[in-house]
This record gives sequence, C-alpha cells and structure tokens, in this order.
Amino acid sequence: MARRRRLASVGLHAALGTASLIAVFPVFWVLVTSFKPDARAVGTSPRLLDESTVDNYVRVLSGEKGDFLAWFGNSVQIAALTTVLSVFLSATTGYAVSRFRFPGKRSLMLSFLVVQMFPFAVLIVPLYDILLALGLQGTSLGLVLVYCTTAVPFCTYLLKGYFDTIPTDLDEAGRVDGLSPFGVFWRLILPLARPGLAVTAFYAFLTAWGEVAFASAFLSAADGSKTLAVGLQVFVQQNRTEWGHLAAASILVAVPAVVVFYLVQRHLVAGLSAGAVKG
Amino acid sequence: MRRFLERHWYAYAMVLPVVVVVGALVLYPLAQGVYFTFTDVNEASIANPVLDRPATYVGVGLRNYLNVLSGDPAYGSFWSTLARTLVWTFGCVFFHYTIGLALALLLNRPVRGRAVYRVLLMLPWAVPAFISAFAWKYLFNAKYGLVNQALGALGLPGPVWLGQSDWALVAVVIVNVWLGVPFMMVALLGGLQAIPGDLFEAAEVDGASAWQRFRHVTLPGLRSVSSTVVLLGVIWTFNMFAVVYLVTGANPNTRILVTYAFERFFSGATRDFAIASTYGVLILSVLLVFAAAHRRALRAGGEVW
Amino acid sequence: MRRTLFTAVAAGLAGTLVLTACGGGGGGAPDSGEVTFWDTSGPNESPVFARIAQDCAGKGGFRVKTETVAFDQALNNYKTAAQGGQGPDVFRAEVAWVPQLAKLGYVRDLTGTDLLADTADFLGTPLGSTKYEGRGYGVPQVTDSLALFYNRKLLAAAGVEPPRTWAELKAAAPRLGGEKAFFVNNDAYYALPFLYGEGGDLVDAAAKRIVVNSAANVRALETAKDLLTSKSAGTALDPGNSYSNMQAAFGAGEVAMVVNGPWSVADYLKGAAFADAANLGIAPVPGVTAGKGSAPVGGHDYVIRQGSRAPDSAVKFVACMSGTGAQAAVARELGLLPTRKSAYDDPGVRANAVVSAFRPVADAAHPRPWIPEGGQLFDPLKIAYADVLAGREDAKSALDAVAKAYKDQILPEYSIG
Repeated sequence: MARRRRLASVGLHAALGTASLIAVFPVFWVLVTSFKPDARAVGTSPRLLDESTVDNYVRVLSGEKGDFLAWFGNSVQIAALTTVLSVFLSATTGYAVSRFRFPGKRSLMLSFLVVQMFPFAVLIVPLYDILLALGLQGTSLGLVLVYCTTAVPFCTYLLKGYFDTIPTDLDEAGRVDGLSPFGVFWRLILPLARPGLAVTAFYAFLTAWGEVAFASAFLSAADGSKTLAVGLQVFVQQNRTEWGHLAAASILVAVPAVVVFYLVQRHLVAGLSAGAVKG
Repeated sequence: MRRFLERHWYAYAMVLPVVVVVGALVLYPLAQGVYFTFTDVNEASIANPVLDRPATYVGVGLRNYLNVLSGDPAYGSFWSTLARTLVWTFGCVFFHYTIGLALALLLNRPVRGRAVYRVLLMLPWAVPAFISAFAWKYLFNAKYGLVNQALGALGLPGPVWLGQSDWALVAVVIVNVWLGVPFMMVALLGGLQAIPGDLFEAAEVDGASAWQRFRHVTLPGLRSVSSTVVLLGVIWTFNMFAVVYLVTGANPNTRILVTYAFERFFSGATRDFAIASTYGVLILSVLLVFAAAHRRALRAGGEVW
Repeated sequence: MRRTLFTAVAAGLAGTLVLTACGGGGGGAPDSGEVTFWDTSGPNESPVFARIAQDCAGKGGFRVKTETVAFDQALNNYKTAAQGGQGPDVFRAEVAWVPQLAKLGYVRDLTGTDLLADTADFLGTPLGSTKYEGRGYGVPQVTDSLALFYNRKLLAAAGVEPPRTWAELKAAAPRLGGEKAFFVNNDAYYALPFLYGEGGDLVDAAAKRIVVNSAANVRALETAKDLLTSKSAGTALDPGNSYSNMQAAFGAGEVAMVVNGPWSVADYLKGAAFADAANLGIAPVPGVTAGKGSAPVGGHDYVIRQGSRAPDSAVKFVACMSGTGAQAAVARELGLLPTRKSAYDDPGVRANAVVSAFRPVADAAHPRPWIPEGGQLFDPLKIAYADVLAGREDAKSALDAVAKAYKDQILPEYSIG
C-alpha cells in the first residue's frame, strides 16, 4: 500500500513536473535569447550562452531601437485608464443587477453576454468611422474608448457574480441602520468585494495590455502613441528579425506583467470561481 | 408610472452608465456595421473630416453577402475558412478543457510543492500573449528553431511548422493551447474546491472506485463551472486574433474568419471595409447560433443562464 | 442628420472622458518648426539616416525627430495615421507606395515647390516613381535592385564561376554541396528576377492587362521550383522565417549564393563567413540566357504628409536629405545607391565596392508599373510563390489564382491575359 502510494506520488510529480516544464520553457528560452546578439540567436546549434551580454537590454532601454520606454508608458496609460473606467462604470451596474429586480434586467444581462461574442471585425469599421468623426483616430483616448466596449460588459458580468456571493442579509442590516441603497453599496458591499474588484481590474488591465488588433489598426505608429504590442513588431519584420533585441524587450515587458499577475493571483482563484464561474 | 420610477430609480440610476456606454459604443456601431455590409465602403470612400472628404460610398444591396457566401477564393473562401475556424475553435477548447481539468485534478491533491507547481503552470497566462506568440514563432522556425532541433535529437523528422500546409494550423493550435490552459486550470480548480468534501467521503464509504467518484461526483460538481468556461472559451477562441496574426501572419493555411476580416480591413491588398464588415456580421451570426444551441442544451439539462 | 445627432451625443460622452485633448489636422497653421521623420530603413541603416537628419536640422534651422518604423507595417501605419490627421511630416516611402498614397490624398503634391523645380540631376527611373497623373509627390531617396551575392572562397574552392544563367547555377550546384549552393527566398519580390528573366511581368499597365499568369511566368516559377526539386538550392518553407534564415545561412557560410539587394550587405559583413569583406562577391542576377538576367527597380522616396504642421521645414528637410551631399554620405557609409547623378562623381562613392558593383545592375533594372495598385500586387503573389515552392500547387494554377485575385480585388478595370 505504501509502495503504491509512493508510486502514485512519483507519477504525480512527474506529470506536474513535465507540465510545468512545458509551461516555463518557452519563456525561459526567451530569457536565454535576450542575452545573445541577433546574429547568434538564429543558428544551427543553439547554446545557453553564446556571446551573451546585456547589450540588447542597454540598446532597447536607451531608445536606440525605437522609444521603448514611451511605448511602455503608452501601454500603461491606456491599460490603466481602461481599467479605472471600466471597473468604475461596471461596479454600480454589477451591484444593481445582483440585488434589484427591475424590468429589463434579464435582457440587460443577456446583452452583456452577447457583447462578449462580438468579434472585433463587426465593430472595427464603425468604431473607426466614429473615431474619425470625433477626431480621436490615432489617439490613446480613442483606443481606451474602444477597449471599454469589451471590458465594461465583461467586468459587469464578473462583478455581478461576485456580488451574488455576498449575503443579502448584510444589505438588509444596512438598510435597517438607515443607509440608502447607494450607501449600502458604497459603505458595506464595496469594501467586502475588494477581491472581486481586484480580479475584475486585473482582467480589464489584461484586455487592454495585450490587445493587438485594435491597437495595430487604430494607433499611429508614432512613438508617442503606440503600445508595446505594436511597438515590438518593429523587431519582427518580414525581412529583418532581431530576435535578440525582441527577446530583451519581451523580458522587460513580461517581468512587470508577471509580478502584477502573482500579486493578484491569490485573489484570482477565489474571484474566478465566484465571478465568471457562477455567472 | 410614478410608482414604477419610485420603486426602481436606484436600480436604473446605477445601471445607466453601462447602458450608455454599451449603447453608444456597441449597439450604435453594430447598427452602422450592419449598414456598411450593404454598401461598397472602403478606404477611399469613407467620410474623412480630417482630410475634408465626404462619404462617397453607395449601396450595393446584397452583393457583399453573395460574394462572400459564394465561397470565392477572392473573398476568403468563406466555407473552407469557416470549417477551419471550427476545427481551430473546438480543437483548442477541447485541449484547453481536458488538459486544464487534468492539471486541476492533480493540483487538487495534497502534493508537496503544490504552490510552486501552480505558480509555474500559470506562467503562460501571466506573460502577455503577444510576447508568447513571438517566442513560439521563434521556436517553430523549421530550420533553426528549437522545436525541430529537439525533434531531430530524438531522431524524429521536423515538419515545416509555419509553412504552406496544415502543420501551420497545428502549430497555432499548440500555441493557443499553451496560452489558454492556465485559465481553464484555475477556473476548474476553483470549481473542484467548491465541491463539498463530504460528497467524496460518502462515495468512498459506499465503495465507489476512483473512476466512479470522478464520474458521479466530480463531473456533476463541475457542471456549472464547465458550461460557463467552455462557452467563454469557444467565444474567445473563435475570435482569437493575436495568436494567428502574430505567429503566422497572412498565411492562408491558418486563416480563420477574424484574421481574414482584419486582413481585408487593414493589411490586405485593399482596405475593403464593406467585406470586413460582412465577415463581422457573419461571425456574429455563427456565434449567436452556437450560443443559442448551448443554452438550449443547458436548459434540457435543467440549468439556465 | 443621423450622423450629426450621433456625433453630438458621442462628443458629449467623450467630452466627459477627455483628459488630454489632441487636436486633429492643422491646416493653415504656421510652421511648427519640428519635423517628424518616419524612417523605415532597418537597424543597420537608421543610425546613419538619423545622424544626417540631425545635420540637416542644424543647417536648416528647424528641429527633427526621427522615429523608426517597421518597414513591413509602415505603409499601413502611415495610412492609418494620415487618415486621422496624425503621423510624420516626412515619410520614407517605398517606390511602389507613392502613387497609392498620392491617389488617396495622404501625401502633398510637391509640383511647383523648390523640391521639384530642377529634377535634371535625378536618375530617370527613380524619378518616375514619384509621379502620379503627371504631378510629383515625392523626391527619390535611394534606388536599388537585386543582385547575386556569392561567397568567393566557396565558389573558388569548387572551381565555379558566378553563374550567368539558372542552368549554369543548377549545373554547378553539385560541386557546391547541392542544396547549399543557393538559397531561394520565399517572397514575392524575390520571385521577380525569375519572372523578368523569362520576359514576364505582373501587369501591363499601358494596355491595362493582367499578365501575371502568362506562359513566361509559369516557366519562371517552374525554373525556381526545379532548383529545389533537383536539390540545386534550398529554401525555408516557412515564409515568415525565410528572409532571416537566408541571412543567417549565407552570413555563416552555409550557403554559397543568394539574391538580395544592397541593403543586406551590412548584415552579411557581420557574419562569420565575411569577416574579410573581400570574400563577398556581387554579380548580376542569373537569367535564362547569359547577360539577360533582370531584377526589379526598388528604392525609396521622401514624401511629405498632407496636413503636416511643419510644411516649410519639411520641404527644407527633404531638400537637404535628398541633396548630393547627403546622398553621397549615405552611399559611402552604407553602400546604398544614390538617385542623383552628381552623387556618383563623389570620389568616396566611386571607391565604394558595393555601389560600383550595383551601379550597372541598377542601370539595367527592370522598371515596375508606377500605378497606385503597384504595392498591392505582392500579397497574392507571395502566397502563390510559397505554394509553388512548397509543391502544393503547380505554377499554372497558382498564377491563375493570382490573376483572378488581381482582377477581383485590385484591378477590376483590367482584363486578364
């Protein structure tokens, strides 16, 4: 019996170990490549170290290869603005849909789900037309508005699910104490919903941070406005791929993303199972 | 009427911001997008206030739909592209779900180093998708890529992953599965932890085998989680643009509906906004049909969302 | 009415969100004194262009901001930006893009400005690329073409002369290691020497005919495919990696010959095989018959964006960048071919090995149709060429599909054949 258990344990570790290796290896290899000169990054016999230096990082950060720091700033700015706007807008709605019964609620919820299905292809032309009309074509703010189209309904959906897990007794107790419905929401429920808000914010941030299609189509390629997802494409041109520099830039982008990810991941499981899952 | 407002004004006030946003940024554009599909709008004929140019497109009736639905290669071979999109979507979601479930089950056991494994396994989710796409493009280089060099070291032939064959589709599916498993794993892990432990104990007391416990306790317990994540997974994968676009570019062997729509909108031979919109409307129709079918199936099983 | 109503509503909504207002176009505004220049040259060249740009700014009394833009996305990026009244003041446009940008109204008509006052010094073919419907929209920056690059040591060791025909190349291949003799780049532009060498072309603009599926072109692609099937050449069948694999293989000495342009020299000289630059040989591209090899005219033009906020400075900037002095400096340092006849008289330019090797190639280069659609012809051809090289389709049916795509999507008023 003990032997069987040990065998099972070895199998378990082997399976998880293999899966972890597959999960980590591509990222690890980007790290390895980021130290190699471009000419050594593509070669017949890859080695861990091959004329490795930190030159790629220096050149990327110094702006010699395009204004990396500006792209980074643009990405942060766009993603942060999207996050703030969509969490702010969706929190009240999520609460209202979770707590109140009112005519039109069902179709509202349904429309949020349907909006999730919208391929960008159906909105890209009209949104483009609208941004042109507003003079926002090519600007960060225009892109934030575009991202809100997907982020807001999804955030509402997530937050509704999270508010559902908070017992309604609390609301009633608050009302007995003389709080208005909005007071209940603001003073009682919102503080309790912090993990849910964190997860929602995280999703909104991710939506904007990694988006490629709208950013490619709507942003001017000027350093002053393009995001990382667009800027990094400079390194992977059809005819001139600079893998070493691309890898260095990738690591510089991935590190903060990974750090933020692991900071919120504690809430992630809880938020997901409460939010998306019970949707 | 007044009583109605008195009763509900809180609710409506709280819902208003989102309704306005959705209305202005989603519903109105949707209507306009549908309208564009009946015109010949393109880069040169769209209104451009900046360049002081009025709209010059004209209505063409159903011509765009007829062109696209004829399956003509000049309009993206709609039917074979749709078939490829379905293979891509269900292939990806199938592996997302099965691998995600397997890993969630393993992680749900008391195993030493569980936290470490979980952190490592979530890495593909933590890294921005466009970065992973570039990394995989690099690894899949047929001649100098690590994937083929590893296969070669094992004595296996290395296919031309990103070339003119269906291997390219296999390659992007692999990339997308790699990207998407952590989400499923985390969601299903949450679902597993929400299943009351006494159900398992009761089953064990009844002498149920591990398989029977999985079949009759775990799976039913995950039902509601699964139905949501699978639906979301299908929608997201169907519309997944970044992976295909960044890994293979405009390769007809990995062309799915959304990438073709983008090609026509942006980077293709001509910026044909009308065809791009037509594709958008068709994609949305396919997804709506799927969602309705999914909902009906759930209803038959006694659940509603 | 519907539009105005919506605009009002949306503007109101946006107004509440606006944190930083960015204005649209600046028509009629005074010159801002700062020129934004989008440079689409690669990492080897951009430092030189950026330096010369700064020199020009210093002399001309304006400021210049050089931004590097990925070449393969530059056209789309520029169009997107220009539509919204944004983007650079000066843009380095590939020769085939200029008529298209002119037609769409994204670049300024330079006819009558100082820039096009005296064009006698410019070479005829590059100058032709700046014209659209009889008016001038750009100033030539560099011209180029494709040539055969070869590894002198490898060819000498095998006792092989640089081949003048594809048949010679095929015959010599076994001595050079078969597939290692030559690298066929899987890209439409690199198919052109095969097509032109057979006497084929993509379109006949004068007669408004699509001729991409001609018998000559079918033969041309079969020649290219035959190099692969007879193991006289290698390729990367994944088009996305083709160019970089070619550069890596030739630079490392794993491949004896490639076809490429003068811009690639800097890449090769970094490779292990060309630590001694003299090892790099340059010859005209092989043809069907000796001496009849033919490669496309390439190159780049400076254009000024319609709606630029620094129109006068932009003109001064382009005048300086395309002047004899700047062109000669570029040619001396980068081996790129000047578009001004006077620049070739510079002693440093005359001494540059790459320029002197490419000069006759460029003079003999095959012109391309300067039509707005010219830049769009490559996308369908690229897929067909890759399919043919991968053996997925025969040349005839692949080219027929290209012809149909041209007719349906790009040149509806042309006739096929």
